[in-house]
Amino acid sequence: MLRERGVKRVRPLAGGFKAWRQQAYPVEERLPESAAAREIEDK
Amino acid sequence: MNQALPFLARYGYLVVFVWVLAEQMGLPLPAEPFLLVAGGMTGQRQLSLHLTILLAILGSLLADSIWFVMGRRKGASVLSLLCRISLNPDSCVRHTLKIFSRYGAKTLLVAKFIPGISIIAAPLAGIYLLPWLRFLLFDGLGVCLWVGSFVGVGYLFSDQIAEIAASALDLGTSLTKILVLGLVLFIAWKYIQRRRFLGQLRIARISPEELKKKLDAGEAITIIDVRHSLEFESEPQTIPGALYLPFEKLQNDPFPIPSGQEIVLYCN
Repeated sequence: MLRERGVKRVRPLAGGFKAWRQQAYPVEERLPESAAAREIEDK
Repeated sequence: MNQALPFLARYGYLVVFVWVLAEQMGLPLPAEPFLLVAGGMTGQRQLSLHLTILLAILGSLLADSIWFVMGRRKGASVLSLLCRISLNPDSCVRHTLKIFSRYGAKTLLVAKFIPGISIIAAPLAGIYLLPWLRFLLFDGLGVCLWVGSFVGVGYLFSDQIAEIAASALDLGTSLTKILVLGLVLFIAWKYIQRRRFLGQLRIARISPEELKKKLDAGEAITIIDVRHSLEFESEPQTIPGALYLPFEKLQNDPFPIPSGQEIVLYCN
């Protein structure tokens, strides 16, 4: 999809975010952008 | 039908329970045709309708409860296990997340009727900490609807099912071979598709070590976190400097793509 938009160099991270965490590399804390998980209970 | 399916007639109740339990745990045993046949047998008075429905419901509820508890205890890693079982892992998880985020617990009412979603819905409910009683209520209702529908249809059309079963058995082992061959070819085709897709990804992917080196070296890279919002809510951290852009937004909303830069995408 990104390649269709002209982006040539797109690479997926092997193992995803889990693999990054397993290496104990630094992460940034982020505020959740929505209360999506809490909304599940109310539906 | 009694002569045609002696094994089922003799061990029907046990088979109903075990088959549904096994299928709902993830084994590739199509439950719906089996429930139709079992329903047909109830119409022919080979099995009790109420007991058949009850055992099928119990089998399904037990499997769903196991997955729910595993989802609660293990979290998102349960999805990795399910993805290994499923032949359409990426699309099935993402699709289920999309529906779950929109409809919540109500998803469980219809999950059994939607291929690919039925096995994901219960552990997902556990991962996102749906209250136990709420899960039991909605999943229980969904299971009752599912079992009742297929067994009920089998019951109503028991004469026709008996005729089909008799015709099928006239073909003897030839039909069995054709069906088994068809199933094997289908699974092989899906497997080859999956391997081809993974092969393409493997060529392009970047390891965490390589990415860390590039970041430490100050290379210009755009990192995009494409996890679904529900996944992000349960683990609201990112790789330093990453943009959080769920896959659905990446598909639908235009965003400025830095020219010349390498883009690294990641999910869970």
